Amino acid sequence: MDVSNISPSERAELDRLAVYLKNTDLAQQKSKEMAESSFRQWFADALKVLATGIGISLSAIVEYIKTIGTAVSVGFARGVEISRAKGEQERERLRNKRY
Amino acid sequence: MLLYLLNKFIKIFKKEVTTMSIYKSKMQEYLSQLREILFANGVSKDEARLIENELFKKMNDEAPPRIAVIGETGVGKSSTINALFNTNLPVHDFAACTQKVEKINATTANGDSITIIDFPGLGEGIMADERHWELYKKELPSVDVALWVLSAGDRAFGNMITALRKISDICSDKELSRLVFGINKAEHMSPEKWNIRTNMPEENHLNNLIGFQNTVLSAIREIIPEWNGKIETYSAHKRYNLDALLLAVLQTVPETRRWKVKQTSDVASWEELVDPEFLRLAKQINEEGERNC
Repeated sequence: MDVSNISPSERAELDRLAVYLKNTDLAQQKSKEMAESSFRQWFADALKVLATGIGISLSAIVEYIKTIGTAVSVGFARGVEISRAKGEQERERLRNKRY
Repeated sequence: MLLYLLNKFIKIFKKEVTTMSIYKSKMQEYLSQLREILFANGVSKDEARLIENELFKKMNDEAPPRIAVIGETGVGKSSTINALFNTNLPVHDFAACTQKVEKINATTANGDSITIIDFPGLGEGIMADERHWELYKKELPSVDVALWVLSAGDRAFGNMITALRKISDICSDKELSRLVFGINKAEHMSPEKWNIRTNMPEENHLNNLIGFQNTVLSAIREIIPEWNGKIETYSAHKRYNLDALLLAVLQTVPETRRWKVKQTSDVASWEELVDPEFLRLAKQINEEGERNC
């Protein structure tokens, strides 16, 4: 069967099916993106709780989370980039604090 | 029996290497980024490993989704849950006319757990019972989402309006924001022009569904004008619009719990019920459209 040799009414149904299919793909994609962003948020929260619970030896994590804090909503990976962009100065400060 | 167990194992295995591994690999990705920072800050390898193990443990220990289903008997509450999560709830699991809130610990075909909280049907007798409303007040704050199921074309939603008015009196705005309305049985909307080849409502049928959804939305807004939640029309039986319903559910679930609900979901395939030849042509139309763009 080919698109060109079907009746106009079938073609109309087929076009509606194509649109529905596109919308379904979009909904699946949105669900996936939403779940990924949720997982990043969950990860940051879990890490924060863990760092607080385990204690001072993990204070660098707390600092790390503070550094990425504003970036969490736009993505954990980007948060890392931001913390990298803050550069050696920030790391030096943390190192000095630790030793 | 052996074949059944083997199939179950394969399903669990497939799920393990698909959904669960997505989150595990995501976590590994984040951890490797984090590790770099940790090492730069003098955190030892052992400490980094400890963090890693603890996080994996936390991920595996995350509580299963808690989903409340509200609606009259027969609207398809259990079939909706089955269609979204691949549970195997008997269709008559939710006893008619019960005045108790029932908690059901269900297991999906992939072996995940899910807690369903079934709120009784909304008959006159139940609505008059104050204890019933206390149960709503007690249980609603603890659920990830409350799915209120209606039946398409059933214009006698007077009970829903009375119940919603009562719920809006006793629940906070935050609790009300957990509500999602699902209009099930899309195929039964008059004039029942369901196209078997496309597994979709035909145009005039669809227009009536849209009209009905707008009527329900207006009724909700009349009672809770500030309610800005989601409403979706679908068919659990025909598997129509289930992805949109799941998206509506996810948009309502608190942010840090969305991944868990998504991980547990296993939406019944609508495509399986579409004429394969029509499906192929529709995909072809979309691909050609994308190329032309």
